[in-house]
Amino acid sequence: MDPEIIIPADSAGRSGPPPPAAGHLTRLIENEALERLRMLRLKPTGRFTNKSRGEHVSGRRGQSNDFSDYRNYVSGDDIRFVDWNIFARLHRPFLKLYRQEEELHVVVLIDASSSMMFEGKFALAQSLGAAFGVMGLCGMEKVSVFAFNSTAASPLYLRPCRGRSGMARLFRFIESIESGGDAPVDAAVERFLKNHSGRGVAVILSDFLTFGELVRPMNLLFGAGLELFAVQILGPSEIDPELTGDVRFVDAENGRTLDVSSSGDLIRIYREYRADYERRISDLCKARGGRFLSLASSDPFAWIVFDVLRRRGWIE
Amino acid sequence: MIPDFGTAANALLFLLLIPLVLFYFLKLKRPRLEIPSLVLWRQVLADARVNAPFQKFKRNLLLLLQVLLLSFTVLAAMQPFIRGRRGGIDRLAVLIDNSASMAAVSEAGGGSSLDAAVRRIDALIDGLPPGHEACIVSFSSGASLRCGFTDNRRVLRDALHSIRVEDVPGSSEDALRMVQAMSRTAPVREVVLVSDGNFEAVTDMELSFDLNFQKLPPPGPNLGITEFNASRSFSGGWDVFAVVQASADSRNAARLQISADSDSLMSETVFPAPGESQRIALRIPGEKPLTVSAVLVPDGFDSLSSDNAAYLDLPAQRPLAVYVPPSMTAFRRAFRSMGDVLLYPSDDSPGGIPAYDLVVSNVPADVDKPAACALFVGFVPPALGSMVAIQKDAGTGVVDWHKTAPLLRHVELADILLLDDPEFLPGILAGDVENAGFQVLVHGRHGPLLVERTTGPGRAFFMLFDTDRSTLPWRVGFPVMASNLRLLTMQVIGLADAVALRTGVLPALDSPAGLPWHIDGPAGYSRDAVAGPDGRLAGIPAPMVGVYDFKSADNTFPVGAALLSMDESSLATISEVHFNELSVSAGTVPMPSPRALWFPLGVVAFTFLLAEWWYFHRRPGGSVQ
Repeated sequence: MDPEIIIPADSAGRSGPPPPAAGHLTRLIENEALERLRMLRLKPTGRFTNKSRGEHVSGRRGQSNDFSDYRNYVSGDDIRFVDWNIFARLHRPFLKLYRQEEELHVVVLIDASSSMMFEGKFALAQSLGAAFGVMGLCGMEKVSVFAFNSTAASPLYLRPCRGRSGMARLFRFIESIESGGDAPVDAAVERFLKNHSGRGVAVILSDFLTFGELVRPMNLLFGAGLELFAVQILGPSEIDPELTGDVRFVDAENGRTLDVSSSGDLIRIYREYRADYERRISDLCKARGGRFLSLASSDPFAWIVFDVLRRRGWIE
Repeated sequence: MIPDFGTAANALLFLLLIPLVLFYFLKLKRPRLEIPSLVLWRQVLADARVNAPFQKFKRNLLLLLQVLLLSFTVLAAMQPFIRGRRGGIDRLAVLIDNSASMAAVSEAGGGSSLDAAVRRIDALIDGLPPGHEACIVSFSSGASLRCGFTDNRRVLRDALHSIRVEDVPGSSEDALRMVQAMSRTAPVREVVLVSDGNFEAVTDMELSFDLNFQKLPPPGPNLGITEFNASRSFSGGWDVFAVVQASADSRNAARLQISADSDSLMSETVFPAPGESQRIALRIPGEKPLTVSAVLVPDGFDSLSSDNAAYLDLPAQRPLAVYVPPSMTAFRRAFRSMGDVLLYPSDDSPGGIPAYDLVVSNVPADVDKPAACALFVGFVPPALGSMVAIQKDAGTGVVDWHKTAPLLRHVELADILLLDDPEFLPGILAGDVENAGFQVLVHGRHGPLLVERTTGPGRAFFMLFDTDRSTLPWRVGFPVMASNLRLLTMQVIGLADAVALRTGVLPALDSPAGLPWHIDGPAGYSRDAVAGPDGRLAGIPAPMVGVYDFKSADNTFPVGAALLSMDESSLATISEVHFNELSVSAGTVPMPSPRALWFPLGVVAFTFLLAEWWYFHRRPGGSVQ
């Protein structure tokens, strides 16, 4: 390693959460939190569901127990769905309609590039990815995970799995993700969509720090029938940096350098620009029916999941 | 205001910026800091550059500090200065007044006008731009070059601080002419004259340079003795007169004390009106020689002390010793009728005495008789023998005469008849007679009738006609002329009147030829002099008021010198000096001197050096991670 490159101490040696303690199912989520997660479900605003039957109630008429509407009986209808109570009162047959329960595909995209190796960003992304996966699996949704780190290497992909039995696969996959690389989030989304089918929810856990444009991947996700849950994870020093003297910044992903000298206005302009950058991503998501949330890597996991996400209506 | 540079050639040092910048970028090593992404910072820097026009410099603050440090150091090395006024002063002549009035103070214990002038010129020397020269000339009754043109400030300051007040009246003309003469060898663009304005208002010369007349603030009130003299009284004693002058702002009285050889003769209070004078007179006997001194003791504050004393030497009164040969009966009759005249040869002294005060003779051999004054009648002096010849019995008359000459005062010569006719020899004009050392007092039809020898000891008159062969002895003018001759003789030997000596140069004193003298005077004055071969000790300067003791091997006598100047004592000042073609007004505000900028620039450069040192040694790097 170049001796002049300063690597934060907490990001130099590990790429994910610490190993699980004895008696814990995974090192990503505490057992107590896991128990609470099993009671929660994703709450998408859109109805991006698949035709295959599932446990997620869709807008279409179907065979679930949830009543939807009545209609006149026509010849050929299955008489098992005639509402005999109404027939007894009105002497006319009416067909009772029910909602269709369809399957929701929950896709978790985890940014494992080098930019996530700072200040516990990647560890939080792993934990949140596992949390979203657990909620999907417990909701009998189809869950798949896509991790991208390097443009040169093949992306890591967990094929869709269902049910609580897939939880162990999910944890093993996420725990095995190696971080480090130059994959930008915009290119990774396009790469993911080439191999993806199915509608549902796409949870992107990234810092969204890319030189590319985010409009195109957002449009592609929307067009693919995926409701976007964008979670931006930034380190504390990215949110509120301190800068003294002359310094040469080195981009962790591509090695590019930038000479910066401290001045009073520079930090202020940085903060303004970062807030504006967040606003732009949020607007992009909202314009496509999605949601956006910016977090600090230092935020507690439990507070994020059981407080922030519930209050914002991401989960219920 | 655009500054000038003393050594503009040092601007070449700005070329050092090139290697500075090159070495900076070659050697600059910024601490490297790995961050997640440059996405935000790149845009931030782009915005910051737009917002701050000098952001590029901010990025290289160390380089900026080094450039500023070098720039200010080079600027200081170029020795910039801001001129005090328009135009350059490559050669500046400074004239400083050190006449008596410059010793005046504005308050008790305060600084004199000379001190203020020295301070003002000191500031001028301090602000003298590098390479520019100045000279210092002091003037009182004359001018003295204290320091020739030089750019050495220490030499200028030493010369300036060596100037002392001289108790003599001030005159700027000699100093201006001196600078004008100096400007002929090297041009002098401006002359600064620092004075209290107590000198002549009109100067008969044409300025060849710009004159900056810096007038000092006026001092306080003053009283001073401006006249102290005596004349022979009718009773044979002395009538002593003293005049006390008050300055325009004087409201004080003073006591005038006159004493003779430590005996007080008078003590009287004088209270002249502001700007006016008061005359005091007293009569004292003249039997013996006296040294009379007058001391003025002001009741209140007196700004000038050097004019408060005066000294007067009075000889003992005695009859005149007059030699007239018995053959000149008309002259003997005229002198015999006058009082206080001892006429020789007499019955008591048929052979006469060795020396006379006055000799009147028609004998050419008597020209060699020692006398303070002489009148020779009826022959041509040997020096004019080749120019004038007397034609006997030709007859002539007086054409014109010098009516204001002391000998001919109140003498009417218009109608007298002369048998002798002195006439110029062919080719001789009146100018030739003057060139021979004679002044023609009476002109005849063909030549001079009465001439006065203007060279040699004493005064000698030659009548080129025989008075007995003219109608002059029968005219009223004859005894008047004899009386004039007597009075003139008394004046020559000092028995008619006496005037207190003024400072400056003492009058010549009689002394044995070649006798060495040592003179001690006031304020440590000490000087050696030797009497000339003509038997006179001349050219002894007396710059200060006081008593000068003349000492030789066998003789000692004091001579007092006093200021006695109405101009100096009145402290009257002028606000404008008039020259032939222009007038120069005085400026009372100190002249703005050139302001050197190298020191503040050096301080700024040092500040940048400290900033760079701090910047270079501070904790490197940032905390963005």
